[in-house]
Amino acid sequence: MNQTKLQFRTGPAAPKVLGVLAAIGLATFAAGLIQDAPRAWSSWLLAAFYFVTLALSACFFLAFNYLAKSGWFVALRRVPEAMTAWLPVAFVSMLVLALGTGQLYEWVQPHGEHAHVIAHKSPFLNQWFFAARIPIYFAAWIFLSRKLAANSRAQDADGDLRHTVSSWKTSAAFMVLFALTLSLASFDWLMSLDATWFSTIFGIYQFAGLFEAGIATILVVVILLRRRGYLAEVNDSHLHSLGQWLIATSVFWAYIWFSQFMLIWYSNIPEETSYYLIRSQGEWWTVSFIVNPAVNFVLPFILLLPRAAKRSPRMLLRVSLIVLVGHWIDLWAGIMPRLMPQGPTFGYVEAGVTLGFGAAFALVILKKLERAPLVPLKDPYLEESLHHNI
Amino acid sequence: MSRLVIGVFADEDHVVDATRDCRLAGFEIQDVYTPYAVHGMDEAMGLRRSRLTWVCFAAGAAGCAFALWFQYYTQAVNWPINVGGKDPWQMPAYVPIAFELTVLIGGLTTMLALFVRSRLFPGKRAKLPAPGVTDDKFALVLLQRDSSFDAERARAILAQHHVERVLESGGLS
Repeated sequence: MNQTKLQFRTGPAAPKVLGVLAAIGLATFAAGLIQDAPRAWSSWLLAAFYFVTLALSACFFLAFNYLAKSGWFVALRRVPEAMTAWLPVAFVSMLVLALGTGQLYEWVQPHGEHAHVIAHKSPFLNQWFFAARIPIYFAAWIFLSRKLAANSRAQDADGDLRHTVSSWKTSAAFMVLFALTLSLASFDWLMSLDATWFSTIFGIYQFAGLFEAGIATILVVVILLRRRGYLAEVNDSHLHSLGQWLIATSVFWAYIWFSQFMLIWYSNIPEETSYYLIRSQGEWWTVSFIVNPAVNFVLPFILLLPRAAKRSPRMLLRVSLIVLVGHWIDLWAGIMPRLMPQGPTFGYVEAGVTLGFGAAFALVILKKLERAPLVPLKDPYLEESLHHNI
Repeated sequence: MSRLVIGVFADEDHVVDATRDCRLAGFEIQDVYTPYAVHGMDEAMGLRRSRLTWVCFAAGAAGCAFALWFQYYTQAVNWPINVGGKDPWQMPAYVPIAFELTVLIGGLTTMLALFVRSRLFPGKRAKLPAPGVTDDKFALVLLQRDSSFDAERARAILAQHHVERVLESGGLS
């Protein structure tokens, strides 16, 4: 192994540029608050949720690979480990969101013909309980993801097998808590935007998007590191396996996306169809039913079908970027139509806030990657991973 | 008449290396028998990529097209059915069936194509080059078509890769 390339170093310019971009994001959010507060808060929710899904997806990726006792992912494991470092920042971003509930959620002050229905939900949907649930979700996510990363780092020093065993147990705990907390968090943050609407599959729908976008992010980081000469241990078969995950999760997303739509469309019950009614008007229809499935399912599925595509860094990078844009559009079409039912508008607030979050996310990952060797050197499965061949 | 030279190995790495060297030396490899799938054997034997994926793709597309046509014909053309006041031609309702038939016809056709192509059927007797290849031995089978086959050289390459024993045969029975 090339020892000099085990230690990642960012260039001197990158942190400064990313810092400036993050500051620009904050400035656009502030400007947006003055100009159009509900829209600015919606953009904050969109960006904050987008990046929390990427970090959670990385932790989920670690957990299911530990639980399956898989060996192949060890060579690239430091990438998802670094991505989970975003969770504490995501915690702050969601606490900030709790300040904006009045501008975002109609259950804060129910009015109109459905006010009594929404008031009935107030034991769960009220500002204090909403804010109190945020630390509970993040306590579980941060504690367990840190435990996985800490085990991995401790093993670098002593090579002790008990760290691997500890990670298996931590992963099992994470799986159970993740299923519960992600469902509730997506009910809280996204589904309650429309307080009278409900969909029992909503948590799984958000999970499907999270899973697909997380794999795409891991692919982007791995491929960019390889381009700069790092992670030479990651061979074409590792890329192939990640590419298989990407095509599989795109199919899974389509399956869940369609399942939610078809059952509501078929049963045709007014309190359920309201969600799709505003998304069937004008240009939102094009976004929700043409663009969204195209970028999240049709394009990734067709482009990644050939074996050669799943082994080509260029093609994988392109498809991953399509999927990352697609995940944003998926959330955009989920959050924005209530605010702008007349049709989709894309302005400086959405662009600026997402850009700022993206820059901060990249900065946290780069800093975290610098703090550990890029390959877990004493992992018992490392030898197996280095010979990954499919 | 063609004859076979069979090298029996005890180790998977040895048989992969011997296969690669025999192919590069110009010997024709009839097949390699291993108790389990050996990584790197495809490349060592110089096999082309399987075309079975194209069978799967075509059959899946045909299954999808058939399912859509069948539902359209039975529910919208031949005997229009009114379900919940919806139009007879309703794409969302047809998607689950189209998906299922894509998977079913794609999967079954691929399996049948594999069986036909490899002449496999229930009750077929296995033709094995040496005892133990379903257990712990690996057999590399070289095809000897005519007198240009350099048997000495073949045995030398096999020996170089720790062959356990070399058999000669007129064909597998």
